Amino acid sequence: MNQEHDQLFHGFIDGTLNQGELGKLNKILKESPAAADQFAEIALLHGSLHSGFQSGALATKHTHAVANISGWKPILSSSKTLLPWTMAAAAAVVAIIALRDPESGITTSSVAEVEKHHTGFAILTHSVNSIWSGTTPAEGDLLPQGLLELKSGLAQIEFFSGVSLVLEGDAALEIISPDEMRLLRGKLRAHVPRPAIGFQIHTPQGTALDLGTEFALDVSHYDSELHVIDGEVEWHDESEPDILLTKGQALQLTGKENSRIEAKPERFTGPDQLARKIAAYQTDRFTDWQQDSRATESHPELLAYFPMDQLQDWDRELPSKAGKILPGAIVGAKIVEGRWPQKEALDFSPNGSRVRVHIPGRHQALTYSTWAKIDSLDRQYNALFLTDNYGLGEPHWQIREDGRLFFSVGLGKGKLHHIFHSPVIWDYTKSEQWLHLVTTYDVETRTCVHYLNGEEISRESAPKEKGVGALVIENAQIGNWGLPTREEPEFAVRNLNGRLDEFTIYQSALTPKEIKSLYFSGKP
Amino acid sequence: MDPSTAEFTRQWTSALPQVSAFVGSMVFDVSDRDDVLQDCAIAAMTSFDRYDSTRPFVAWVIGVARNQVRLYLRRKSKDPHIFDDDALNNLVDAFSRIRPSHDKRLTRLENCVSQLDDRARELCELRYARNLKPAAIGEQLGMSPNAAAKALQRIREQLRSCLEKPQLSTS
Repeated sequence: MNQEHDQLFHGFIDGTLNQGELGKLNKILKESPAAADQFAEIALLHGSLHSGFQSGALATKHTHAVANISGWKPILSSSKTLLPWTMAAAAAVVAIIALRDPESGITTSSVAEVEKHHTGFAILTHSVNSIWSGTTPAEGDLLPQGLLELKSGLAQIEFFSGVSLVLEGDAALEIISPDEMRLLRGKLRAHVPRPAIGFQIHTPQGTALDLGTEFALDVSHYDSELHVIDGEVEWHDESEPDILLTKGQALQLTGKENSRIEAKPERFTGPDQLARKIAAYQTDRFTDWQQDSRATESHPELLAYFPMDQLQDWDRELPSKAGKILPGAIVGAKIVEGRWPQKEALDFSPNGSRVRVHIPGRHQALTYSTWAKIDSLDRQYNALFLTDNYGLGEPHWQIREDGRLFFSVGLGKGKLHHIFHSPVIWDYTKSEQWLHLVTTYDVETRTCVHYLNGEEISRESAPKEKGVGALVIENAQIGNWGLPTREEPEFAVRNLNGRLDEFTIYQSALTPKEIKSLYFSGKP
Repeated sequence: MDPSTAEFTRQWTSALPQVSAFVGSMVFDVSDRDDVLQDCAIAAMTSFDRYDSTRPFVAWVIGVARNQVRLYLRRKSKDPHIFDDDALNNLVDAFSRIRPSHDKRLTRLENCVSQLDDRARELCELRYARNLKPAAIGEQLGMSPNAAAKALQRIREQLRSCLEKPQLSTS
């Protein structure tokens, strides 16, 4: 029997484990079926004790008073079942038998629904000009246990415990738990709120234990500096008794000799400076995009272009920047902030939201390109861009519930189309990210290519019999599908639960290189 | 009652101790446990026609319970980090492996609890009859939360070894 395991198992059922310990427990259960067995036994005993005391079966005279709060009859000790908690479950069965009256016809089941789980102890909330080595997290990514190396730029990391820190490259850190990390080299400034007091940062020379508010570290292989900007920090290392530093105090640490120095908070980038840098960076990026956007307007293969820029709240017309194409009609969709604060996007989450467009012509190839920030994929099909109908040559571009892009071309009534799926491009961890989605289709080769953030993620050619003579769009909708008619007032719910920023159609299949450059020019 | 409903009810009742223990170990909020267990019963019943009767029912129904627990945790949890898929799968297997005789053994629990000393029984009552956490128990009994947690662990270990022992009839 493993003492540490036992302690974690009992701690878990008593609800006393901290995040780091939960992580350990998870690891143990994952790696050892024998440990899982041990855990199950303890849990079973725990459950029986709970039921026994709640029902009164195990109660002494003290507990009878509380035994009946949940309304169960005490089960006497002679009873065969000492698990009266399960009485409720037995009652549940009776209840469902009643529900299962053939008239009521229960047909749906939520069994297939699978809970998504994330692993992570922190979130990368912002980064500016950041270049990473090895693991490259994006803004909004959850950061699990492990090493992160920021070669240059700035990054803001927020731990679930509430600690927020600004990291300056070149730096290397290891996330251990929500309240523990290691800084191997580089500079950081940490803000530790009350609930996160006790946050520890290990360095090669020792450990800084925060007792509240704000401090900074500058770590190299040979020495480190600890600056307390506000509040108190304790320094622990092998050679000294613990040192308590308060506001305005700083230490130079070598692991052997520690000397007091003057605190210089201005040497460390704080959240306010980071915010200013982010704002400046966004302005630069937006200005670059504006130039690229004008270049897009004169692209020789451009078919339709809705940049979604300079929209006003009350606008119900979506300006078109491609010669012959008329503006789109905004229905329901809200005008919201886009990739940058200076620019708008459309939020399609209100019921029935869509943009109606008309794009005439017959095309031998098409490229669809948009930026999407998706809150959830809670429909079976989540619309990006679909033709009103689904006749011969009419393309539908959507995202499936499981996070895969889905492109198909109608073959006319009664004929089964070919579906081009991409690998999964979205899950809940990406809900804070703008994703660049591109799909191209070429009529002659019947080839469809999906791209995510400038990278080709799938390429497939349909069999000959699934081909069409030309692609036709005509009346179509961005962000939704299906128009109710007087005869059929019901319509499928497919509006995208999220935002789209900039929607472009080219009448050729752009090359991977062109798509990569679209990504870099539009990247927030 | 149609035959398949009768069969389901029979199987469900026999698998209850394991399912309850599984749900109970994942769902801390006592008032939510019954709801989750009820959801499990409904989910299992509505998809009972998909159960392959050549395989153990317990394993299947705990798989169903796992999905319900995950749904519950998703609705409820502010903490995105509980158990990942691999750990959960191991737990599902472990709970499915619990020997059916185990619940018979648990009927001896009363005898084992009666052998506890007064202090230990008091701790059990605070923990299980009044649903107090170690910190609150510590406050009541003038112990540190850590000491209360340790004491609970010792009591459960004591009960487990009592349950392991071959027992004489108590009647």
